[in-house]
Amino acid sequence: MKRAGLVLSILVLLVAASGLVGQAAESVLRVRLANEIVNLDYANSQSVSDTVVLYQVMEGLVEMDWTSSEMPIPIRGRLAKSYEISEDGKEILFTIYEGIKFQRGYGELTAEDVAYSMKRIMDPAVKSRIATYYAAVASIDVVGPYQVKVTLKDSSALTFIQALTWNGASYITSKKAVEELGADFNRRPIGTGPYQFVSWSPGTGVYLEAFDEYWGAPAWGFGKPGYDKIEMLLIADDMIALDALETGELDVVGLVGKGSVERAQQMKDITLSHAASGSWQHMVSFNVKRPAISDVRVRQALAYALDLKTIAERLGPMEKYWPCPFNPFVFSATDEFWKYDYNPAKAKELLAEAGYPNGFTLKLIYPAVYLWGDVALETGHYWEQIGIDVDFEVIEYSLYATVRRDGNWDASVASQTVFSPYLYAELYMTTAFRNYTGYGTPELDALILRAAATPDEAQAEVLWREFQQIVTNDLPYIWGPAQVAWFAISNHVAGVIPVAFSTLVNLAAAHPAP
Amino acid sequence: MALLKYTFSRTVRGVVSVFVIVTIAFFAIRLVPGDPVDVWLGDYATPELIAQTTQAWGLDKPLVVQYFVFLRQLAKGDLGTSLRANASVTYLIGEVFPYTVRLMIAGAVLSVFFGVLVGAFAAVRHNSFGDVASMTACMIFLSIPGFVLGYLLIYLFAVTWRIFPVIGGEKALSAAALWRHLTLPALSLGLGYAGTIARMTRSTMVEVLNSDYIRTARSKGLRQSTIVFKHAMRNTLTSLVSMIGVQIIVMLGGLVVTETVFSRPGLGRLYFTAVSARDYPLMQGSILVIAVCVVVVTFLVDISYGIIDPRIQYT
Repeated sequence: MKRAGLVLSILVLLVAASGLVGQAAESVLRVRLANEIVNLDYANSQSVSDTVVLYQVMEGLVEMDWTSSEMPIPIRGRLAKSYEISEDGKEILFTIYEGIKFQRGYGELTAEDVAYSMKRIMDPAVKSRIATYYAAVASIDVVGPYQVKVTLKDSSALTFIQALTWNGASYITSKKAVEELGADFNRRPIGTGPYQFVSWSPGTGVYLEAFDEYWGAPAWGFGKPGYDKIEMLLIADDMIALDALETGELDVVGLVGKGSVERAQQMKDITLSHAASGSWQHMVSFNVKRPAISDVRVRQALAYALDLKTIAERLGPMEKYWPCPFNPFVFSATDEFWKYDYNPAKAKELLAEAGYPNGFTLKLIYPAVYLWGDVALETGHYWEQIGIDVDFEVIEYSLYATVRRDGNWDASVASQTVFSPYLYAELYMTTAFRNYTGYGTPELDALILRAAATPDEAQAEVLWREFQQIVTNDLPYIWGPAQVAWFAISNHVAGVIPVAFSTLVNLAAAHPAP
Repeated sequence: MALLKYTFSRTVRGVVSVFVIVTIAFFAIRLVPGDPVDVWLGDYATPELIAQTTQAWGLDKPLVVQYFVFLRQLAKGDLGTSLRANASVTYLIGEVFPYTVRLMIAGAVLSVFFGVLVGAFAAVRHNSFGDVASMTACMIFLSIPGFVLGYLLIYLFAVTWRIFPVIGGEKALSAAALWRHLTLPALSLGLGYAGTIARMTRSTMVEVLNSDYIRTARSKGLRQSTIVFKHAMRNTLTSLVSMIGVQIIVMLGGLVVTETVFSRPGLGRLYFTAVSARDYPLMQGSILVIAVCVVVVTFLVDISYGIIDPRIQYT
């Protein structure tokens, strides 16, 4: 009897052990989200966290190649095998790869889905915030099972392609999925990316799983997903996120706040990585309708008063000196027109010339978010050195756009990231609703529109450089340091591609380190 | 029967209170500067998009009309749709509320347990070194801001000694998961209030311990623990319970900090996000749930008086 019990026990143990042997451990990648998910509909995504999630779930027709170290960052087709621009720059023929599958059994990607996804952004019922990117589109037509032709109202094909690389403007979803999911689509995104959406738990994070039928994007070298699951966990505080990285609760942490890079540099078993260039371009905007600020000599004096290199250094490794209207990775970006190297004597001379030898009172507004507060305080400090009486005012972020539009300020701090010269230049147009500075001339508007509608790259570059020269002379903005997107990554993880925008990261090629 | 009548009357008063709070909140949040459409569109705003979005969100209608639409939805048990997330407010709150309830209960239990224990100890050891030391400790916990205590607990128990995790809420409801994920947040939330309860317990109990019936109990040779926990505690509880009720309500205000520091889902964080975005339906929904919590806690406290002291009648 005892022997029978012993044999039985051994059998049970063997069965249990074989079960354990048969079960391979699931590989899970844990990534930090810095803020709450808002909306996972690609046409209406808002927070950076929305973008981080969608970056893994969806794929664009064209994307910026963040694996490249070239400047400007080259644009390449992802779902598009090719895109041909007509000579007049009015038509673009997209040819997509064949055999790409949508997640959750929504079938093969076809030209119908491409046209539908793009038209959806233009549909007023969708209320897409990026509908303006499609303002130049006259029609989108399916011309073959894998071909879509976009016809533009003008010759702005080059500008349109550049805009498509940003904010999910060329993400493609399944028409069938949108129709079936209805109102739930903004919480259940469907794409062709390496990871498919599983669930969003408000206040906790987002859960993804490998999409086994992922096509691998051979031209990009991504291959099959490297992890079984991705958990994207909401952690607002940088230091807590780094604590979690240290204890192994997280694998990838995008760093946002001041001091976080310095802390991460002290940590063991992690790699610090950043995108090839700065992301957020900090800008001090001037309200040129205000008496003193309206004088270009005063704005130039305020530029000469700033030691931008020192400011960038003092703000830490998160900042890069880049006094240029466009981000360094944007087509045609150049800092060669910047002539305002730190020169307080010259600043005082210009102020006196403009009729303000004893300075004046300047109202500087800013919200205490990101590094904007630090940029404002540093800037104001230098202006005080040349006799400006700086009246600092902190504005709640939620009210900032309204307050800036109301115009009761002299200078304000903001930052911007877009991937196209036109989207930057739009800020300077007299017709732009978000041109809070009041700066602009019909001639400049015409130059911007001409540059945007020039299909030839070389000619477009000449025009965009002319634009940069004009605004660098007139200074409706001073372009401060560009924030570098840093990531602290566990040494157990390889293949993470940092993207030059806050905490945005591409995990398509991420895999456990050997 | 009296309890039933009392419960009915309190329920009616509670419903009226919640209705008044929600009505005031409805109009008050719209008086706060800032427009949800502006926040949503930010730099993408164009006059056309502003008009479209305002209309789609029903914000172009007169305020009174918006109020009646809200009441009609509320009567159907529908808290509306979050403007930003375009998701049901009931769903959003439902996802995080259980985490908040568990944290509140754990924090309250912990603060009462430690508060009463330390307070009773200090009262018994009145004017001794133990009394001074425990009251000093209470003052320290009372004075430390919640986020500092939270970071300190994380540094010691999660990063240095690796006993608890740094982040996250309990996914499962097992004892192990609750222990791992609730201990530090509950300590961070509850220790400050434990200090208040301890000080209150001590002062009330010192008075009770000097009363005649306690002297009688002592002269009869009863053990100290029997005197303190059986005889003195009962008379201390009435005043203590009303304060604990208030403390639990005040604790609701500390949720945002605790949930943020420990990266826990919860109503506090949800409400904070809603306010930042001027997401009116989500703000209204959160306020409604908090108001109901306050009414329920107050009711439970009032009911408990009769249980603690049978002389108290429900009227």
